[in-house]
Amino acid sequence: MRLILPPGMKAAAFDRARQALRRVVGAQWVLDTDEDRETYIDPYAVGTGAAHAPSGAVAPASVEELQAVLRVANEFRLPLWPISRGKNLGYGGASPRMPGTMVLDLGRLNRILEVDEKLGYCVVEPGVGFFELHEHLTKNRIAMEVGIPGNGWGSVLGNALERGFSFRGDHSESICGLEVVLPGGELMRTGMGAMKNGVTWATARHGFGPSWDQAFVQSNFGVVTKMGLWLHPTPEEVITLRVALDQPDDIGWYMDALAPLRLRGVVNGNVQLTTYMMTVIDSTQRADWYQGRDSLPDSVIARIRAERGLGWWNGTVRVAGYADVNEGNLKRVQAALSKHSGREYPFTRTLSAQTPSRGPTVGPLKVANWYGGRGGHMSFSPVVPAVGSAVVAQFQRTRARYIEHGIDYSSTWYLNGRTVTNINLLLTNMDDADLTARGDRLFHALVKDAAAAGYGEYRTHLSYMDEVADTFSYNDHALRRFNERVKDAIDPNGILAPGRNGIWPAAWRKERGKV
Amino acid sequence: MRAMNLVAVAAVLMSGLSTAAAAAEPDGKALYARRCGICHFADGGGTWMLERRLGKSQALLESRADLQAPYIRLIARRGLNGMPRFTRVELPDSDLEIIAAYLTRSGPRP
Ligand SMILES: Cc1cc2nc3c(=O)[nH]c(=O)nc-3n(C[C@H](O)[C@H](O)[C@H](O)COP(=O)(O)OP(=O)(O)OC[C@H]3O[C@@H](n4cnc5c(N)ncnc54)[C@H](O)[C@@H]3O)c2cc1C
Ligand code: HEC
Repeated sequence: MRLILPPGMKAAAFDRARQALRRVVGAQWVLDTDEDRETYIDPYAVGTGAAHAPSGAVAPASVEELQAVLRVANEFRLPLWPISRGKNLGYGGASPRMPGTMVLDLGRLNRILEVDEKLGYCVVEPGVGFFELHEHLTKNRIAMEVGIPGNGWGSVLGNALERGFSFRGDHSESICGLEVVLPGGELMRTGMGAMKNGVTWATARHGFGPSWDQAFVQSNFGVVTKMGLWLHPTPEEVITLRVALDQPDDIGWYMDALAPLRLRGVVNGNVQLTTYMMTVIDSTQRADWYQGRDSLPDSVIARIRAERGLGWWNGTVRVAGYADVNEGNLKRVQAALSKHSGREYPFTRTLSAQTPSRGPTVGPLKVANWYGGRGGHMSFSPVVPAVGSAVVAQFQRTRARYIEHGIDYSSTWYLNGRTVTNINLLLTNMDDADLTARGDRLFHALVKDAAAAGYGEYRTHLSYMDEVADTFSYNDHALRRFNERVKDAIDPNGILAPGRNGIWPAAWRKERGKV
Repeated sequence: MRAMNLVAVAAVLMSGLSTAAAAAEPDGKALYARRCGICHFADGGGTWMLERRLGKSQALLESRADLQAPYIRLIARRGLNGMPRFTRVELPDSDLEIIAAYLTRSGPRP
């Protein structure tokens, strides 16, 4: 892809900045050929990806090099977008929000610095992937686990900075202690790490005074170079209930039955419930079932379900811990469910000592092939209260919009104790302009509907960041104004990740809303 | 076809000749497993989609004899349908060359 400069930046200044970066990291780690730029374009971009095209990438090998890179960026007002492994597929991949921003690829900082089995934490650098951490834990027989996203290709640290999650819940809640390079190049540690010799950096969450870890999550206030992350002890036994629900609205009683048990820790992982689609989507393509341009009709849904023996909703409930405790918890789950359905559900028992944990996979990426061609998808992810009637209403509203736009409805619901996060897949074939345009219109409609109901998204794709940020509008966008006051104070040149999550520095504020 | 490749590779290894392909073999296999195997081993999305497009005999990249290094390089950097592109940070040119040598060890070389 040809070079796109940051808005307003002169080619001569850009060239001088590139030269200065080469002196810092070595010529081979400034990646700015046409082909390099292509490799950083979001593979699932809406349209060509030009709206979020980087001008290149720079890849420092140490914190010292990174600090020097930030000083160069400030000198030339070159905007940078940090990524850890850049596998943020469905939300923008490795691409920056604003075109012309240079990607700051931290993949070369890839050490696992510490794993403490007794206290249950690790300290990692940005480039450490789920595969590497899992391998390290398994090889060293450390009976600790990390929450792994469906797409396990990415970075442990990068995923937590996006509030990624799994059945283990919101991964950002496991963050404890960060090392951050501030936009000006200064190195800082949070919490107990702010002491010269802080021993409980990755175990005590808050240190002394304000607690800043979460301020670096989904923000553009600093580049995170080390992260303490709490690990989950491998349970003695895992019981997995398999549930299939026959009717679309069954999701309501189901959430009502399980939310209290999740809140009380009887069920100690997010409950997951997903449409029939998720099960066929990774082994068949749409054309195997249906040729029409409209949303899959009920008759086809019925055929898919019959052939595969699926419920309209399919899910798992996980009861994990010591076997004797599990026994009582399992009874409570079965009782709560059978009160509504009049039946008990099948389950499997796994003893961790005998069965190694499954580890990361990239299997779910297969969903991108559903429509064929250059496949892709985005996720629309509102957070709904853990109340059956609210869940049913949100589900019906969303599905009606999918049908209206002629797109196949597919979603997964993750029940936490108090909320349900609803990941709706917008699958597409990027070679099909009409389908992609309908998907885009559908996304806008969904953001609007959810906002009208008082529900915000937990995370969104680059192209919709401003739109979603706009829905957080209490008192004339007081929160955004506060975020941007902080931004301007710590990043006066506005060089770090302009536009991330709708936070624009003064230097680029006029770019808001442009996609 | 597949059996023949295995025989050919075994012959090279046993003869103790350090041809480029044979020398690259252990490294290449491990690198391929790490960077490509997650999609191109038996259950992977790459294998699945290649089977759909080219048939079962062409589905597993590792046992093919028709792949050429320039094509492998091109696909790794440009992507193909459901296969995303690799950056030179994740997969430096030197690693890609080793993988390409591994995948063409028993097939035509440019
Ligand atoms: C089919 C499919 C299933 C998926 N399933 C899940 C799932 O179950 N759960 C889930 O959470 N996600 C899921 N994802 C989304 C995504 O693939 C993962 O969250 C992935 O881990 C994100 O990529 P990454 O870890 O490489 O992070 P990166 O892409 O490296 O980082 C994400 C963003 O965080 C910021 N950032 C990264 N590093 C830094 C840093 N060092 N300093 C400052 N800012 C930084 C940047 O803005 C960056 O764009 C799924 C995606 C697909 C396609
Ligand atoms: C995330 C999954 C994924 C990863 C990782 C991946 N691939 Fe692929 N690859 C695919 C898919 C899917 C296809 C099939 C595309 C199609 O034909 O629709 C494919 C196709 C290919 C092809 C084309 C074969 C042909 O005959 O046309 C080559 C070559 C290839 N991959 C090489 C590699 C190499 C080398 C790596 C590692 C550096 C790699 N792939 C990693 C998913 C992946």
